[in-house]
Amino acid sequence: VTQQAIAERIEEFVRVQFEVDPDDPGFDRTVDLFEQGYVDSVGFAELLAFFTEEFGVEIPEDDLLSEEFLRIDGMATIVSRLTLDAVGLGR
Amino acid sequence: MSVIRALERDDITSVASLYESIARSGSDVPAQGLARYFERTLLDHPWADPEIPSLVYVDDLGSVKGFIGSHVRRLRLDGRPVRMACSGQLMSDPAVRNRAAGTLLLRRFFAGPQDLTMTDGATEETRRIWRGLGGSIGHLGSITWVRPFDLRAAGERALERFGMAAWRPVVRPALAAGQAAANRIPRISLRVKDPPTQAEDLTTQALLEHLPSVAQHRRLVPDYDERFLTWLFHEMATVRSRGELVRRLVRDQQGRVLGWYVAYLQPRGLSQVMQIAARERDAAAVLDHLLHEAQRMGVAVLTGQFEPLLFEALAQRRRRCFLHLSANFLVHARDPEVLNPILIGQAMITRMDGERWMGHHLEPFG
Repeated sequence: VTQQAIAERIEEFVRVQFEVDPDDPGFDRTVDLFEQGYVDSVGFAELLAFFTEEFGVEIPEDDLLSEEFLRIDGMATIVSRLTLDAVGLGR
Repeated sequence: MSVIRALERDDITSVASLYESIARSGSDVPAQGLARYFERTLLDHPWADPEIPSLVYVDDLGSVKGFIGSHVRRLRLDGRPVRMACSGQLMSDPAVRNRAAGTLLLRRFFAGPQDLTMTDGATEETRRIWRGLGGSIGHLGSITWVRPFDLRAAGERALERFGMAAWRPVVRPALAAGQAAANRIPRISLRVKDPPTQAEDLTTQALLEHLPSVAQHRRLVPDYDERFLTWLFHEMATVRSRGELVRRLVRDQQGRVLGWYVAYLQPRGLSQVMQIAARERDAAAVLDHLLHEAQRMGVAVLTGQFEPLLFEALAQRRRRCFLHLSANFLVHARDPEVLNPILIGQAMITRMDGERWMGHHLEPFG
């Protein structure tokens, strides 16, 4: 699965699960989902469950605490790296 | 970068300030005694376990912005030791809520070496986070039985609780009429008859002596010891805002021990049972003694956690009990063998073993 495809899937999940207005001009893959109120603490737990179910990865705590994990693009980067690591293709 | 780490003694003042600000008065200055209470209940209790510590969320500037309390309890599952971590006082500064600090704290807490994590005081938000992180609702533990004694006082307490105290003058005549009817008509009377049993103060020694026989049909039971029980009863008694801590060992007329109860009883107030222990065949007799004691002390409403051993006793109409459902008892375990006894009613985990008795949010600490 490419990083692009992962980002698309995460965006789709966020849009549906957190009822993002399709015409919302402020929403894109670079927006801080938490700062802008798209995802709260409960949503965060749901996101983690989604990553496990959809991509079979457990996100390490350091990644969860990183600035990268606040944005869909960053999440996709992390998930992509973890999936590559899992099959032995990571750096 | 923010970090999550184990609570250290030096963090206690910051934790107390955060708690005062979020869960109590809103002030940054904690009530005198609150920090010491955190210290006693988290760091200095006999079963405090450095492998399962309370956790703090520390921001980039080194300030404590989130916290989860760890209350470790020892149980036995089919005789083998089990460590249970009761998670309590989960909170985060509004400044870091957009970093999901509470969820991160709970996730790290779940990852600890304990066999079982539980809470019996979950809010709606906490429940949803637990579910997202793989926790389950303990359905049986989430059922509360309720026994009214004084309709007037109970109704007025309910109005206060739901922020409708101003309605008291309107509702009072109806409540008084209901109470008068209950006093006159035997079929709906709330009076409890004198029990044929007798009771004495429950000592730690008596509890330890009789626990094995009382809990013999349950697979998951507390593994109390003298030092822990002494500490627990002492701390429970300091929570004065819940009422008087009453501990009674109940015997039949021949002096045979039937079981015991531990409860906070409060005249004209809402009172809570923390533990009822008995063999199933004796549960009704122990419950009846408790109901009579509550009536004697002028309790308005008595509530307790539902347990299967109480089913028959509670189902009898003459006891005037009804059930209330919530979803505040949550559990998480990696091993289904540990979880199953709780989910199917083969565990003895009472409010005395969770966080329900604690007084962090209630006590004046003056």
